[in-house]
Amino acid sequence: MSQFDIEFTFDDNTITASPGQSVGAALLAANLRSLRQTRFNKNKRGVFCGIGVCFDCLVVVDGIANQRACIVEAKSGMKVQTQVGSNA
Amino acid sequence: MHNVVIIGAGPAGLSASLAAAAAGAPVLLIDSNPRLGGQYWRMSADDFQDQHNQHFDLDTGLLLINAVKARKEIEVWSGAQIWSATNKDGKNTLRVIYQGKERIVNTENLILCTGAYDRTLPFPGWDIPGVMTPGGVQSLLRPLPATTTRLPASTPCPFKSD
Repeated sequence: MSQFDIEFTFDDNTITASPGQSVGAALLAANLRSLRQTRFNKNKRGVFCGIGVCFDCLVVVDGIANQRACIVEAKSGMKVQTQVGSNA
Repeated sequence: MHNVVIIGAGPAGLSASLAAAAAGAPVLLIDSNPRLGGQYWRMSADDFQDQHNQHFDLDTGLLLINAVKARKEIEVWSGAQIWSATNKDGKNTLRVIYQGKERIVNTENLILCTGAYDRTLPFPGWDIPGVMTPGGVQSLLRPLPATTTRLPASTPCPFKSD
């Protein structure tokens, strides 16, 4: 595997990533910082702690909500979506 | 049945696992990251370039990681999330999401090696996307080829990328 071999989608964007890179890191590298919207005011949130403790970077990965973008490793073919509220 | 359950696979958790296994205890090592090493030796993909320039004392890290992998007494659950930990009458119960399923782990011998993270004091704008902790920035840069990143720091050290 060489660098940036991995390709996944975030909403309508195609994103490339290096092996081992998290979804959150790849999205930031693509200048996409806003990953979810809060439940009540729909405020934008993104990666904050970067190590899996703050839960501010929640996204929907392959239909499963509440995944921490900073922890989930980017894989080819992943479908990542902005999480709105609790995605309920 | 595991005799000792250890939470966290960083330097402390790896060392504790090896010590318990060496004493003959079956060990369950639970960690949230995809790979062993914790935040301290946060590993990117196994087949991805030499990572020595990204870590302090990676030799020790690899020694511990490989030793843990080699010990059959140590069962490893990487990528696991513990959502509840309770203690009643000296018995600990963990509820763990691992490989998409909830597992309930009971143990009398629980070792917490959960490490440290940035303590952030709130300030106006700290929740704007793009504002990150220094630890977060460091972890996001880790799997990339060697780059020079300068982080101007004072106390406190809020960091906003622009």
